[in-house]
Amino acid sequence: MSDLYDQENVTLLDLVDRLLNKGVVIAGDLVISVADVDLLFVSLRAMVTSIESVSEKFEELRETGQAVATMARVADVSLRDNR
Amino acid sequence: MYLYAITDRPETTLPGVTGIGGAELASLAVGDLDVVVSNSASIPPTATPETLWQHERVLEALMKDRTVLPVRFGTRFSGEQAIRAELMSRHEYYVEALERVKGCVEISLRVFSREVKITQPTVEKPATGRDYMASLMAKAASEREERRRAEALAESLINPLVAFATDYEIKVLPSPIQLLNAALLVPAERVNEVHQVARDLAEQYPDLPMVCTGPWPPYSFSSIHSEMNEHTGS
Repeated sequence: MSDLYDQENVTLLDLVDRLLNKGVVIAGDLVISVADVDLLFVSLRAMVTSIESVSEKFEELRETGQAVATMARVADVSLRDNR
Repeated sequence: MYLYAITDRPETTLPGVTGIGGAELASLAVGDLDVVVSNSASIPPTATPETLWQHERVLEALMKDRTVLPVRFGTRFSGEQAIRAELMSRHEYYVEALERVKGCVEISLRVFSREVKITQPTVEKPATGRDYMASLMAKAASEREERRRAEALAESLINPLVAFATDYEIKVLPSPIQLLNAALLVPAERVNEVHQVARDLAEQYPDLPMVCTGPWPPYSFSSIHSEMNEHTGS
């Protein structure tokens, strides 16, 4: 497992955090669906709690199909999953 | 239409990068403002590392010769008329927001810690109601003390960087393993100095993993009436 604190992971975390949570919100139609959950979650999990407990929880969520919703909540994204 | 940014200088030629899904960029000038869009067939965009980076690359290319207000990823409009109406109705707001970030970029600093966190003191099972209340008060006092120490440490960490910033947003203990999450709006010409100060801090505090990223487009400072501003000690 790569170090959560390394430059590459934190850069991806900052990218996700900024693009999905910040920037000008204007009165258009904001539609975001989220894919590549595993890859994004590798970075996003750093925002919630310790690596081990989240990894275990994430495996449970994947089995029950709740992973996308959970990740969106972590990123504080208003998610309308159109898939 | 998919939106990337609101910018100044609509007379400027668009950069030679493509948008999400390889879509060509287009410019919608509204007076002294410009909206950079693409007619992407692949909307709504799916947030993957690739699409997020492509959105970012468009903004970075635009920033070379314009002031940029990044638009939230995933924003689209039904057509040109709706975009023009939005810009005309809030023209002054966007001009003011652009002025605020002109010549500046955003730098991020995250400081991680396994040691500094809110912990719950171990208490015996209370025998009486009074003991129960005493345990609650002890817990609250302990949490206040932990937070006070974390805030003092965060302040000493961030002060040398805040000195460069025209604005900043700081969150102390945003999650159990993060001591500090800071976004700094700094003049573009001072980025190298900021990076050097961040490197010095990392050497000064070897037990605190910290990562500085950027320069980014001014995502955290693109709204005038930001709900996110949480300045430490102010």
